[in-house]
Amino acid sequence: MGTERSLVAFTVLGQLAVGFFLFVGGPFIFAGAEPVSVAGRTPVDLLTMGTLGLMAVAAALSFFHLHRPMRAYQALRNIRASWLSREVFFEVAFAGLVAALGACIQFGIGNAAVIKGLFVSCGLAGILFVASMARLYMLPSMRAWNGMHTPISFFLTSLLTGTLASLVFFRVGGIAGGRYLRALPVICLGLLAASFITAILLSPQHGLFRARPGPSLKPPGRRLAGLHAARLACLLAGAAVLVTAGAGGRVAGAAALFTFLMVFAGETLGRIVFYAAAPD
Amino acid sequence: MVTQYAFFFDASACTGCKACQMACKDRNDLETGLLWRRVYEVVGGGWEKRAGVWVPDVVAYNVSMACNHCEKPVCAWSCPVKAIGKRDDGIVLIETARCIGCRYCEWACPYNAIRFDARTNTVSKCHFCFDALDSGEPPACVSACPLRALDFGDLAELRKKYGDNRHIFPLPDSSQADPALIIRPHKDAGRAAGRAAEVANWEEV
Repeated sequence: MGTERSLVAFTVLGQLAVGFFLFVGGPFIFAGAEPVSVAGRTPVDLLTMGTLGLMAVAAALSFFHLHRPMRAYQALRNIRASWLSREVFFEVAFAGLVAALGACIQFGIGNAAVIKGLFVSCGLAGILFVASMARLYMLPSMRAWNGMHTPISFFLTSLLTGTLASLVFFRVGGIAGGRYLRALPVICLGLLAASFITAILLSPQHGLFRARPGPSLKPPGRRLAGLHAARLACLLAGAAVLVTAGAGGRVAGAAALFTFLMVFAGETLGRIVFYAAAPD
Repeated sequence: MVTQYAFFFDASACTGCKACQMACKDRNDLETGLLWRRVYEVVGGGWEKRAGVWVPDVVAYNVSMACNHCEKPVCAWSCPVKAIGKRDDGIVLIETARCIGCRYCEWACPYNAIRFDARTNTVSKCHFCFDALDSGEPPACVSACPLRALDFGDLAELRKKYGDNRHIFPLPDSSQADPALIIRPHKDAGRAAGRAAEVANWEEV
């Protein structure tokens, strides 16, 4: 492990930021959710500030895996060939566009069409950020990562943590979300089930249909069976609370927050298991 | 004029003495634990009953491996800062002053040839002793081998001399990077996968 700790934090937080932006912002930009003020700020302010905060923490942590971070400003030099350069590009593009959206809303620049256009551009950059993040690990030399598990699990982390963060945001903020908010717990449960099944079937080193090691000059990765089991337990605990709370007709803020924390912990453990598949 | 320098490795001649590994380490003054050329000990097999008699059926040979200065240098393609480049003579070199130490190239290299150097906080690897080559001398590993199991030269010339086999168990599929490498396999190599052979000295390499 070692420097991969920072990559675990960077990937999970980056994916959460994209999911948070899409699932909190979407209802306000497109479905006309009630823009009441929360703690003196509008939800759209909180959306851009929250996304940028998450991206800032993720980006700062990512520097810890570099052994020569002062040279990192050159990281876009090989954008024509390197997926790592492309990931950095889409990361910067996503954060920059979200900042531009926040500025437009804050200072009243542009009409509704401009705001919607910016939101779509941000969403696209965010999706490409997660896609490039997944693609860069799909190396033929790394059999454990070079399969469908990598993009599926990266996007599921984004969708699952994003929808749950959205549920927490609406419930804790007391914002009326209409049909969207009523459907959110069901969407979250579906994504939780998908994440659980993906972990059981495809997780590197543990999944029933995982990529099997072949001839290689790289030493075998480590199996972290305890962490894999803990990840599954976190997902199950989150699902159990969501189902129990949802049975009463309305998921309370505390239940939504507990589910989010369980799932966030589960996805983080899953990412540690993912990186353990790489040789030390 | 050489357009692609390459190594030749004769697995049938290698005894696993590791003189190549040590000569490389000595010439390049590598830190403890840092190896640019490594000798993998491949072992497998066991006892087998044939016609009612138990006979040994073992697989055991060595694979000496460094950077293969690939024709498709996936390490260079993966590097975000273009710190890895290929000379006109095919040698793949790392520009240490540019490396950011992300270590992504280590994952991308199918031959595990790129190694982290804690002294410089950057990655490092075999540079084919290019300074020796430029003054007409052979690479240290080639000149150190007492069995002449290693040779070097232009890839096209080596192909004429030794054939075009690039694979021996447990090397990955050569199509991943088109290594500038010719291998004469050991007689056991064809049975290695079937006899569940594996690298026995991971701690060392």
